[in-house]
Amino acid sequence: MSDNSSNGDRPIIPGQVASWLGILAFVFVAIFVIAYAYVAFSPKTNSDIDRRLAEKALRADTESKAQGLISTAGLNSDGTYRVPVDTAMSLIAADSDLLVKMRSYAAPGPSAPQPVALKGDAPKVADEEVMKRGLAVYSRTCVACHQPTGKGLPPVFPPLAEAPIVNDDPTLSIKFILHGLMGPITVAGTTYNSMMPPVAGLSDQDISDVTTYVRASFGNNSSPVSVEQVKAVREANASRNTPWTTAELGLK
Amino acid sequence: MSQDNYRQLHSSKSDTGSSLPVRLFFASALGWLIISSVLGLIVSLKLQQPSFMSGCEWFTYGRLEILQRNAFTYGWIANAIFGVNLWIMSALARFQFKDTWLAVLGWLGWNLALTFGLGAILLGHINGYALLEMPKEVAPALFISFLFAALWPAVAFVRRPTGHVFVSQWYIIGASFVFPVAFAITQLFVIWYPASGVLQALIHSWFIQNIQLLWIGSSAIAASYYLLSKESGRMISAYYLSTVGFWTYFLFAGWTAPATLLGGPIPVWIQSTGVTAMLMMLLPVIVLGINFFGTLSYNRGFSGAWNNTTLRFVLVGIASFLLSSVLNIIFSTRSLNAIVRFTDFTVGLQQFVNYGFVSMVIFGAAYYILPRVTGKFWPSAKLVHLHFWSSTIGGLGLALYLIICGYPAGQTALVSYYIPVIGFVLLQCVGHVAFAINSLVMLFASPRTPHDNTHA
Repeated sequence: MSDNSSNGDRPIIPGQVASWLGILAFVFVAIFVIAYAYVAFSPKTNSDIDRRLAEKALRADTESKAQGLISTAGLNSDGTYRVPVDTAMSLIAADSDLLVKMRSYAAPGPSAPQPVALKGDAPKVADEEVMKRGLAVYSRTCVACHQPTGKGLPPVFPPLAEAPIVNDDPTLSIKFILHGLMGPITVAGTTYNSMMPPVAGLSDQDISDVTTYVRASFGNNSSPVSVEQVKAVREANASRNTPWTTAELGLK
Repeated sequence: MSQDNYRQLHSSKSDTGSSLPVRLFFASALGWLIISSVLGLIVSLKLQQPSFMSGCEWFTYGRLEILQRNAFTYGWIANAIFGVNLWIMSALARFQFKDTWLAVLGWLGWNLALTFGLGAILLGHINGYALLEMPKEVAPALFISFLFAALWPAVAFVRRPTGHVFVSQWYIIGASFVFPVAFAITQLFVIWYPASGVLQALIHSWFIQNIQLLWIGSSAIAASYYLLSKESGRMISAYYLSTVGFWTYFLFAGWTAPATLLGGPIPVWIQSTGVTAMLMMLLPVIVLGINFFGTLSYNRGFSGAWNNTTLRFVLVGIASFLLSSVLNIIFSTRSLNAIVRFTDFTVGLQQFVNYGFVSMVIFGAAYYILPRVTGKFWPSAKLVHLHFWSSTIGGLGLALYLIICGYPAGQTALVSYYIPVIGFVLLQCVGHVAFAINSLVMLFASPRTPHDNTHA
């Protein structure tokens, strides 16, 4: 053994103590590793988990909205995007990369977006401008439940894609958007029994745009909806302040 | 190796540097053993006569019972294990302990911290977790003292001159690292920065299993291996299996924790993990059984063991180990566990391990080590016999009695029942006093004053 020499001076840290210090270091490293692993992998309190899930859902939602907005359908003819200001602000605040993406999509040039001319009579086929505005409204208000794909989230949120209730009479869709819908309803073989809240703050123009967009997207191929149709439905139900029920409308 | 021991036995008591700390650890272990025996006597008396000493808040059942458990585990078993492990490791690794003062510092710190902690328990500062009851301020002192006192076996291992590693060394090395890690982690996440809800119970049960099986248990297994081969003068039979036993033991023992929480509000898959690990413990238990009893099974080994003071204790110890382990494994299956949980059966099983196995092996080790450390012979053979029989009947008898009475109590779901244990505890007490007189005379008496029984 190295520390067996009895006639020489003992070193400042004798060999046995040096070994002991090494073992101490090993013990502390082991404790640190286990503690770190525990802290990193242990489940947290329920509220923590809820908050994390909510954040995750919010991120996914933001991502899907952003995808909807920066796709070519949301692009104006001059290369700018149709994004409502508040939505854009919140989206950019939530996702710092979004600004970069949008800039990369955007064509260079200082030209301001052309104001969209509102037309009293809607054409038979939805024009590009209406579709863009419809997508913007959809991405702002409908996408959370009915999803960017329009396929919903069975069995909680029904699909809009190829659903007869969406494609037949536009009056129904307008009613749902204005006042909401309650009660059981079967879409594509799945029975849904949740509540659609009324979508507050949409103008007649917005509603006509979004219904037009939905009726011409996700595999749907139905006629556009005019502002007048929306206005008529709104006026006919001006005194209504409760959601529609499926029983009332004779829906199944 | 036997020549080495012969030289140690017949040379002066300061032959290896480890003799001073070993003597100190044994002396304090004896003190705590006597204290915990007296406390155990009071506690069992209070079960019989609830009004006994109930006038004073300090001596209520809740405090004394916790005090007894902590004094027994951290006082008696821990100190004795420090001494036994250090001695065995010094002998096997031919370790000349030069920096003895560090271990003595650890001994001092451990016992002072323990005294403060137990005093705090007596005053009512109690945490609600078994074996973590001492106030949290004591824990860092215990932890650091452990590092000073009980890592020297690992140092002896690191600086060993020979290449071969004996099976006792593996178990001792494992035990040296289990306690500080398990203790620190559990203190951190149960007492200092509590984890949420059910996780505390899980971590705590992990701690208990680590302490019981991997620290105390593997130290006692190491001593059993060492003493069996030394005293019987034989090779451990089927020695090649001991590697399997060691690794499976250390692999599965830590995972058995959830099996002690069966039926609790923890996820079922965690409980199943615990039960599975418990069943896998059959593997090391079988290996240890083959090693232990195989060694004694030929050439009149058992009668030889019975006529040897040390081996007689170790024999009872390893028999208790196998029996209690098998019972533990069988009764960790869900249907059987449902019967015995919360009954005296589990208490008896713990007594079986802590006393029948660990304490008996430590007694045997003391009968082997103390003469070699002090250079004297045991003063009284009659006291040794008294110790053996009263400890065996008192300790093992109590364990079996609780197990046998606990099972029907669980079957009939008796809400309140009482099992008188005072006789067994009294018998244990007598044995411990006999052991203490014998050892203390040996440790402290100079040849001219053989009746000086005080201890430091």
